[in-house]
Amino acid sequence: MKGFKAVFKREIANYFSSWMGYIVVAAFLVFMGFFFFNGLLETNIADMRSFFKVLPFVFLFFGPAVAMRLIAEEKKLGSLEILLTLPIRDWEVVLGKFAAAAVFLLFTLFCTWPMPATAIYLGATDPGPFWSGYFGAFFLGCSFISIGLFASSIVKDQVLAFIVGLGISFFIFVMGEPFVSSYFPEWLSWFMMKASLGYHFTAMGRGVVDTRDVVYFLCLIGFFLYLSTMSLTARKW
Amino acid sequence: MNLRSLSIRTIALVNLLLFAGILVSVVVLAEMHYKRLDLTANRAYTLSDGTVKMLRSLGDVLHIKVYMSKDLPPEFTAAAREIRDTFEEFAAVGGRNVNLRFIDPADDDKLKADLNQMGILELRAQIRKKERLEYKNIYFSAAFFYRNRKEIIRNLYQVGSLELAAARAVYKLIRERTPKIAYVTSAKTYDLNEAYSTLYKELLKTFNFAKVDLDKGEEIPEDADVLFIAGPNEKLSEWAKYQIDRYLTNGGNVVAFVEQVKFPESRDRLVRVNSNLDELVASYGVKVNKDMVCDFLKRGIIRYNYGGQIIQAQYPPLVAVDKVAFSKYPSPITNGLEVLYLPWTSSITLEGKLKDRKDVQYLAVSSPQSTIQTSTFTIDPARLRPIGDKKERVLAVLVPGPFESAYKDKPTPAPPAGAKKETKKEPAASNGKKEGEEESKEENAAAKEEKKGYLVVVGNAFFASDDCRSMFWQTRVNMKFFQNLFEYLTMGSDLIGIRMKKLSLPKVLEEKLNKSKSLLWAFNIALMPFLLFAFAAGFKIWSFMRKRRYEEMVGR
Repeated sequence: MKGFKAVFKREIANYFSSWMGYIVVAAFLVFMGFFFFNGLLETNIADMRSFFKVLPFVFLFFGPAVAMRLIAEEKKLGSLEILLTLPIRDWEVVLGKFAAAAVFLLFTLFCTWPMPATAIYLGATDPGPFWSGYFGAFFLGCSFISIGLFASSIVKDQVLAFIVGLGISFFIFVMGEPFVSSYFPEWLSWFMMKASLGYHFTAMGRGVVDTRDVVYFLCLIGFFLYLSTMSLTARKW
Repeated sequence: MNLRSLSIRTIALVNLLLFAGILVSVVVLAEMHYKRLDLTANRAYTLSDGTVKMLRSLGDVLHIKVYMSKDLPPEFTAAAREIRDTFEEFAAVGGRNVNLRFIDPADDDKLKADLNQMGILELRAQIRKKERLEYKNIYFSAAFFYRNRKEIIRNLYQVGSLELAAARAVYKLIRERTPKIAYVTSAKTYDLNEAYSTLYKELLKTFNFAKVDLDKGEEIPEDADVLFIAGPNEKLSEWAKYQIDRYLTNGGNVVAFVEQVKFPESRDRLVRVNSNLDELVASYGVKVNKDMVCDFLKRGIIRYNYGGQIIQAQYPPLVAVDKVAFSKYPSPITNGLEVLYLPWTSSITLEGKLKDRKDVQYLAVSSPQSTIQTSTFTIDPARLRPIGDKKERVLAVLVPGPFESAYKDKPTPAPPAGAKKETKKEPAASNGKKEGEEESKEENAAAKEEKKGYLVVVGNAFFASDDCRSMFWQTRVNMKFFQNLFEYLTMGSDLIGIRMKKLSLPKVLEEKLNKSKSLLWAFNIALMPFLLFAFAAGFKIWSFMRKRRYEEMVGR
């Protein structure tokens, strides 16, 4: 695990020492604050539903943006070759980078504290949906990051990694939505809905943690981390 | 491409497929064995205690058949998931006594015909197909079978609270009979079929009704669960009052809407009602005062014509009892209700022993900014002034029995012509008791103790009427109060608890929002980005200084 720790520390330092990280978080906070506050005014209900309703769409961009640099930049600078020659396993590299991005995601979610504080100030009394919503948001964000990490592992350019990550995330996210699944046969649209990210976040956003949703997120994250590891390993073939 | 690299790739592909297969198996297993952790404060997505108690007390197998098309349009999938979750909770709680089946009648023409006979029809669902909208016939209903009875929910998509609808259906199946409400038609009370038609239609879904004209000597049905007296406009006969008293003191539930002032033909001021129902309820310690409450803090809105213009104004005689009052004086009947409107209502004072009773429930209490009118009864919004003592006024109460008879020291009134003769049970003589008599006496005492009855008194009867709904549009929300009231008196608080879960969405506190809107906007949108950049700048400066110090050290 020494390799994991080293990669993790390096990536965390990278996130907090570059302006880009702060710009991404600031943009995320401005968007979320805007949508949350307007949603609160529109519905006139003091809860976080408007926040968790918009969150998946914002994460769709945030996840790939956070992860795009992780491997693609190393490839471009040529540091990946050095990294892979060190006594570190491929999965440690992937896991270290993913864990750093996940911690950065936690930091970002922590920065949204004014929103639940506002909801409570304006009359929200039930903290349960807040916790389950944030719990789900973390899993959803990690899912998008794992997809972004995979995209970053298969291309050399950061921008291209962002676009590929966004494309895959978008596909998995919207494939269960009626406006997409209605183009497919009924049996397939049911399967697509079950496999889509948006479907599994809905219950958590309203206060229910379902083991089916948690298992789905964990499996999806695991699958893309495995793909990313394979992508790194494939360079040696 | 050499053979070695090919085999590595093949192994990698096999590994990938194996890994994906394991993940898919895990997801499928998780779908079959799952747990749901409901973190909402009122456990909105968990079955309520009442439902759990009911399902666990089933004496026979309850069959729940959910007729739901498998190829549902995607628009229905979220609702389908909720339905599946709710019914699966029913099955989990009911154990062996709940047999749950999800059935798609798609290709089974015989089943379709059977369902058609049961009144379960396909619903016409509107779905989006590419650029256009299409219609599709789907099944989305449920049937409950218990012993030889059945209950059906025809459209699961539109039931509101599914748990409530399903629990109601189950309750109707397992109870021995439909609760009955007897309503008094003597002394010009409000006629349920005409004056209260909206309320009546709604209550008919859950209750049976029986008219009883006490003045004509008709008897209160023995199987009546509640006796409802809706604002008599004339004096009840002594015999009628005696019948009501006997019903109440024997453990029956009585709901008395006592109207002391009413809205006359000429729209100038209210007039007194010449009834004696107030005297009867006063004998149990509930005095309905001959006044009209005006609440200058919590009030409804009236629209009226003033010089040809429609004016909208706040109207103190339309007292709005809201969540503040409900939470201060909690009751299962008002638990979770948003508001109850009472127009031209009279205040209630508790007297005698009732003053110190802890089990009396205040169902409606006005705000501390309430005054009363005792003589003029002005209803003109332009002339209403807050004159007199300002304090909270009780407007509706629920008093649990047992009750002492108002006719304890009075002679039994003579029945009207045509009334059945009274057959009084003589008390058992102290000597010469028969075998088993002691036992039956104990049983009777236990039954009486168990069935102590309730008296509900509201200082108004107009608030339930159709005229009130058309005059004050806000009073439509009063419907929930009546449903809760009658359900409580006949079924206990179980069903009320189920409905209330869906009613408690926290409204934004307008006062706080209006006071600090701009501040909150900045707090949510600008504060954290600003702090973030300040932190980043500080971090950068610190890093730069540290680097410079290091370089200086190295340089030295």
